[in-house]
Amino acid sequence: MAIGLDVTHPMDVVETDLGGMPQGGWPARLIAGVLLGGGLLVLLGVVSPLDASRIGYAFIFAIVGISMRVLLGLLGQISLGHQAFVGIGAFMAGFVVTELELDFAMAVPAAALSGAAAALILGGAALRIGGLLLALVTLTFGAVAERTIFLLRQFTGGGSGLPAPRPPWAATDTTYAYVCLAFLVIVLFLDWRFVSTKAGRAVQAVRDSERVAASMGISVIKYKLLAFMLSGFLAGLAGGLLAFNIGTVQAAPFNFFLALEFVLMTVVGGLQYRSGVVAGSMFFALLDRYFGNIYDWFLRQLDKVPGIRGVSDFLRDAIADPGLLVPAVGAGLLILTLISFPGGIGQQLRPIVNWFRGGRFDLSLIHGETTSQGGSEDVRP
Amino acid sequence: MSVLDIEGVSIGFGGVQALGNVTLSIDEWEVVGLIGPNGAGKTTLFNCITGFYRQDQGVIRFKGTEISRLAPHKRAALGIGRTFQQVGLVRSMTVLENLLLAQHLEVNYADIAGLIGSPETFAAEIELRQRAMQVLDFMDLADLAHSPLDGLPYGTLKTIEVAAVLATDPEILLLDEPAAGMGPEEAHAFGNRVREMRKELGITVVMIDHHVPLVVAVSDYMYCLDFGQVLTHGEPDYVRNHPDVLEAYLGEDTKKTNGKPKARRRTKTKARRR
Repeated sequence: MAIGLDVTHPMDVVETDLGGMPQGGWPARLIAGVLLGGGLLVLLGVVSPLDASRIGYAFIFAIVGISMRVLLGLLGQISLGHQAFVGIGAFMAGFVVTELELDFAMAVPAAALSGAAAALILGGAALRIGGLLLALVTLTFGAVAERTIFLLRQFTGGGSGLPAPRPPWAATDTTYAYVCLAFLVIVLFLDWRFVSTKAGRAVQAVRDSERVAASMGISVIKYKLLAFMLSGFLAGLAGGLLAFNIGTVQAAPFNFFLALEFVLMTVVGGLQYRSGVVAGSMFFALLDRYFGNIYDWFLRQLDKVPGIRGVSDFLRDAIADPGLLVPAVGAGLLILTLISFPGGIGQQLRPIVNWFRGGRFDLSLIHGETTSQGGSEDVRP
Repeated sequence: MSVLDIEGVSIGFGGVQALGNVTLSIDEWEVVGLIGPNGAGKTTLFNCITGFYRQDQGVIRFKGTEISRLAPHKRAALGIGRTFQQVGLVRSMTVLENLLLAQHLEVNYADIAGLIGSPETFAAEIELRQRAMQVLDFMDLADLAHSPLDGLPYGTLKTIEVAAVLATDPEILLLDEPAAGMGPEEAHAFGNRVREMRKELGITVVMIDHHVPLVVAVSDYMYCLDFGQVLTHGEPDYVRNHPDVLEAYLGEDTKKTNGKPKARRRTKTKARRR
């Protein structure tokens, strides 16, 4: 690109002069925000109960995404066993309502706390190791949990699972989706405050360099454990909500594929960006729920093409459970993300988010500076 | 009264004696320069003081209290601040965010209060911001407050790092090659700022730098380390002209040295001596 190296466009100057003034003003932002939020609320009300339940499922995934972001994005440690925290939360919720015969209002906090407790144990391991080794430990943790805790008859009801009936005030799929949305909003608020205050900053400092963090008076041990606990708390909360979304808690869905999906959705969403993580998580959840429909539609289209009739039959035989393709699609998206947008969906959403915050709607932000992830500078002695 | 006392500190790494019986004492309000060739043990000494290394022998006292058993973050809480050779800042944050982070110990709300968004934390955050801006103003960095660290020149990053450590409100400041990457003029301005810091903020400064004229100009007292031992110490003019120091710097006339003295091949020289 040899052209225009020294050319200064007069337009540029005019544009930068506008820098301090919000484009469109605050009323426009308020209206847009109300339309977006209101649109979502109305949408939930008008769609079929099945769709509402699936969207509620997506809200729960968004909470898991935020939980992953705390570990992966803020502390910089990967968890390949996150399905275990979600599962423990789900079983705890089922246990509290079915075995202890307590309320939804008790079950969800209990689920969140059990997730936090489980994560705290795993966090202990993270004090000594990190990176790949820790990923391995979390992977093992998830696999072991699947075969031990999840099969405890007294706790999980064995193979038949635990029923988790919804409270009477949120008995329908639609009302329960609103409940999930409310929890997501609370979680987003918590995440926002976390990164804007002392603890969130300290965790990020620990991610970048434990030595620098310590030299600023930050207790590395404390904040690592805190990040694990918060992440586990949110994952357990999501598990609790999930139990009531499905209605019956069984061990089967909490397998490694789910953990993989959690990692993929968070990275594709963009670790740095809260909005991206939410969008990525919801996208994966909806993909997961609607993939069967999409796949069927795709096969039916194939049938219409003359001459290749055998192909769709072959695919029907070869891929019995199309749900297993979701991680594959996710992996493909991950590669695309890493190549073109290291910041994930969040990076693509930046112009919009920036505008809502009072900045300019600047499309160049999509390609703007990519903030580096994880331990950027190793501070050696 | 001495703020920091180091008595007979020794530390070795797998047979290499990095520090051998180092004794030095730093008085309140003093600016102390620490010079010596590469590998002399200067940064190792800092790491012992801040707790990243535990010395094999010897005692380190801060304001009369033995601190050798304290974890690094607890020493920081006592008022020992340090900078790093490689810039000790969080790269993914902006300049202002780094200064907010550095005020970690000054924050008086609980972690959980911040998480749940309790009202007093909003007020406290505003206060932190104001204090951060004051420090940035003091270091003439206010314009950069909202810029990300990525892409800033090395010398600027070093200045930001000093600002961040100042924001931790230290009693003693350990600066590890703060002027690295700065031009002569920048380094001179930095030296003036160190004197100013001492005067206005009443802190004690220990400074490692290869920029000997800068250290001489800034310091009240100097130590020269070589092979992990104190070669000599005294007034800056005495130390810089001391024959042992000149020899340690391989005959380079320190008066004319404007930049960093060349690194010696330490092990070879040592082997020949023994």
